[in-house]
Amino acid sequence: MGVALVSMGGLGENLIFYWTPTEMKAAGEKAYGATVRLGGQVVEGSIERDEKSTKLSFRVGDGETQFPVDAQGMPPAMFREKIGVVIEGTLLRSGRFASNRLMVKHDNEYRAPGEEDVDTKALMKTTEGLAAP
Amino acid sequence: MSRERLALGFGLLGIALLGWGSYLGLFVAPPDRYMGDVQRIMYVHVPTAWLALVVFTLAFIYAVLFLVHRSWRWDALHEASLEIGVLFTGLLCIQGALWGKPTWGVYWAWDPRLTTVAVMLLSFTGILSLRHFLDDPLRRASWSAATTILASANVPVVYYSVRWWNSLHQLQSTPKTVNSSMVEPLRINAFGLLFLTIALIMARSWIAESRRRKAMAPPLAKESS
Amino acid sequence: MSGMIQGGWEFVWAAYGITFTTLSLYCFSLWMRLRADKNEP
Repeated sequence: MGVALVSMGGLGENLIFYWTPTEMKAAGEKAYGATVRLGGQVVEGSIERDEKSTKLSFRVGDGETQFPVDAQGMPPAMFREKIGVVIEGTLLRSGRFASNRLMVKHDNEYRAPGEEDVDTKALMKTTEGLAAP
Repeated sequence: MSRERLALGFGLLGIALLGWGSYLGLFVAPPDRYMGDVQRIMYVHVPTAWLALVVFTLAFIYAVLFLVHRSWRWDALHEASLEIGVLFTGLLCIQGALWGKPTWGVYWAWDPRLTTVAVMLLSFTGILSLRHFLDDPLRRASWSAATTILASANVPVVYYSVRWWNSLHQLQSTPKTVNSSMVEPLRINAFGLLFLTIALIMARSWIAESRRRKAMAPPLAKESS
Repeated sequence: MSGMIQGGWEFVWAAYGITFTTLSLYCFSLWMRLRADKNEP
């Protein structure tokens, strides 16, 4: 039982999968040099693509702090503004994050195309009365 | 004969529901606005995840019941739920990888959810092989029951991992976060897999029972009295 | 970069195919093992 508890504790430490931009800033010196993961949202209007050199740069933020990110190659198909991303790479002294691997998060919302965060069936119900003559 | 008919009934009902739910999920439900058609993997992945957790919870209950009551019935059910839980968790990882590649961009990442699931798969696979190597039925039953209780500490951690820690895997969905026409195939497949699981656990436990009888295990105190 | 995944049915078929093939094979193996148990008392 003791062994199990100790291994669970070790697991807990390893379960820091990524730092948010604010956490990375707070980590200070620890954030530089090593391969770390940065997770947050792609800031609206920050995506810059150089079609010729396959260079991709954007900013990742959490509402409080932002980091500029430089990546290479094609991102996953779902990559867009305001989507969650987890980036594996290193924080440079220049303050830019150099990405080795870009992963796209998807949230727990499942919607039909064109549908906003409103349920169509619920919407139908609210308009039923209006449609009646 | 009647318990065999009951299991067959559950199994056929489960298969029929899985066929219906998968048809709705593959051909009737709309694609997701971002994930497109790839999101249809959810209709098998989420029920598989639910049932894997349910079956390992059953394994824990059967392990406790065996240690308390010392009846072979609970050991047979314990063995059945271990094997079926491992089978489902293996499938879960394959489905998840096939969903992860087009959406996340990677088949696998050591995020908290995936790591705890890997620990769950390895620990229960280990218990199954422990059972394989122990020839004495009583020792096999008690040792594996004790290790199952230890390994079960991780099962709720798997469920809560996405809430407790930053992860790549998304949170659990609720009916509010899922389009209503997507909820239906999900529910039908979940009930389908539940009924099929009941049939599988019953059938697998009979195999465990008859094997133990063939090994001519001595009757335990409770059963002989 | 539309933000929506185009295609990808090969992943869907692979996931469903592997899941239901494996489950069918497991059901079949249980059936055969039960029959074998019955035939030898």
